[in-house]
Amino acid sequence: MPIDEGTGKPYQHENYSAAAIKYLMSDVIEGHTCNQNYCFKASDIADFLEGRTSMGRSRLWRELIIGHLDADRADYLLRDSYHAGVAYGKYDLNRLLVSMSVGMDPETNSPAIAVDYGGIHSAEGLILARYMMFTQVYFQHTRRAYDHHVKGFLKSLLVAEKGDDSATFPPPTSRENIQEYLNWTDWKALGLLAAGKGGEDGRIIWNRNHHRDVFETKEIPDQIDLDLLDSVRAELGDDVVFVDPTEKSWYKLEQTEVRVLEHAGQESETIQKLSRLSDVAAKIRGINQRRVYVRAENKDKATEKVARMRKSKGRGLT
Amino acid sequence: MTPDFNIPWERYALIAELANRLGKRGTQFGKTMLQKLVYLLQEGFDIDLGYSFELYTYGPFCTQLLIDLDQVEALQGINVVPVVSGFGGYQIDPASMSESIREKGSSLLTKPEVVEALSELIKEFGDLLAVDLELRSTIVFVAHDHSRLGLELSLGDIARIVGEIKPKFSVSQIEVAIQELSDNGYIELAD
Repeated sequence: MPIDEGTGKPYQHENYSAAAIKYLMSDVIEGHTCNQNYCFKASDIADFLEGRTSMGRSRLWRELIIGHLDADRADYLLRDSYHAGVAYGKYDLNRLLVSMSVGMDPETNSPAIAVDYGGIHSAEGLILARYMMFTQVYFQHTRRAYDHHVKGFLKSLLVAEKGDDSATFPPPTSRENIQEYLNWTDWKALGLLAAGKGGEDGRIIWNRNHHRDVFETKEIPDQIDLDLLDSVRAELGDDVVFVDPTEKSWYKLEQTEVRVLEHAGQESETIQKLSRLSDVAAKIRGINQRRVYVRAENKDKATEKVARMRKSKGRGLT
Repeated sequence: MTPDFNIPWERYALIAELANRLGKRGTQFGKTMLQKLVYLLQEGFDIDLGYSFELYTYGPFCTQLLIDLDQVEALQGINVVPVVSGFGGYQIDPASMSESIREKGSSLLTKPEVVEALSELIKEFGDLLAVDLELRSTIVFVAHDHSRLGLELSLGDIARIVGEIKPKFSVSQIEVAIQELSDNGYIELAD
């Protein structure tokens, strides 16, 4: 992705969504009959997606797109579970939806999206489903290898198309750029892959000859694991093609917690943080695993070296 | 080919350093305070740590920083202890491997600009309560969010926006904090 000069960091996918709305959908949104009473501008929706501070009190509703219980994850966990043929992402969506509410947060003196007290376990269910899907599916070692190859493949296509080694997708800063970005469809990319234009990573994807994981730390590595990682990397030298950090926080304590509405409708109605009521939410910790990958043809040699190190150092090695 | 491999020891070292400096003081050094101080270090003192902050309910927040915090705790660089009294939350204290982690990330901690920024940060903000840091970091976030779009806001503009986002603060509390941040050069105000 190109660098946003304002932040000095790469643009995120939300920036492209916001630009598509702002540059390509303003007539549909602003001219729609349902919008006559509300007068929403496309730029309001773009600001909402990007979390601009100008949206003021509407920020409340942003929880629905970036919170622990946001619509995206509520959808993708069940959808991906179904299509991957696994049960890890299943949770009780209907129970969660009927538990959603809004209450006054006494700590911020402002309204907050919350789940009713009776919906605590459905909220826990979603958090656990996400944990299971990430550890069992999204962070599976072969799937992560293909993340690396797809990234390299797309980079090769951009470099070939633009004739520039530092080529990126166009920044989401104009109608022309966002249209050019949207022209990068699956059809176009797969066509170029089939035509053999995806560079080394394209050939690896085409031949399903992905890089192999020969060493991994524990999900939450300690000092000994990280020292071992350094040793393995040094021992394998140039055979290491990439080291993959799989980092994820399942439940963000304090700052972005799920709120629970207690005693709804009564004088004592209040909002409490989920981690105060749920040991599951309070104790689930993020992972920070690292894996070392080598080319498929070097796997046996590298595995042998790692095995020798396992024997001499004695822990944490696959 | 150079593998894209990095353990972010510098970021881990910064967390251990802040815990070392603030963990034993009277003010509770918890997760909220850590988030706000690191945000101010990055945005107010131009020390680029690679964190991306978003504005959440309690002010600027970065998930990656929380992941790093968990990792430093796993490495025994800090202890994160729940506080059962008062406002609750957590207390972050230095732990047995603190020195070793700070040593591994010393390339950051010994840079002259970082040494100076950390001293200033702690002098200016280290004694504030988490709630005061929440207000100040939110003000900086609002001002910088607009200035990136080429918009300079007046004191009144920022006060109105922050007041909408954080109604728990009075207008006068917000205005005093804006003026203080402007006087100390953390934000620029339009006339």
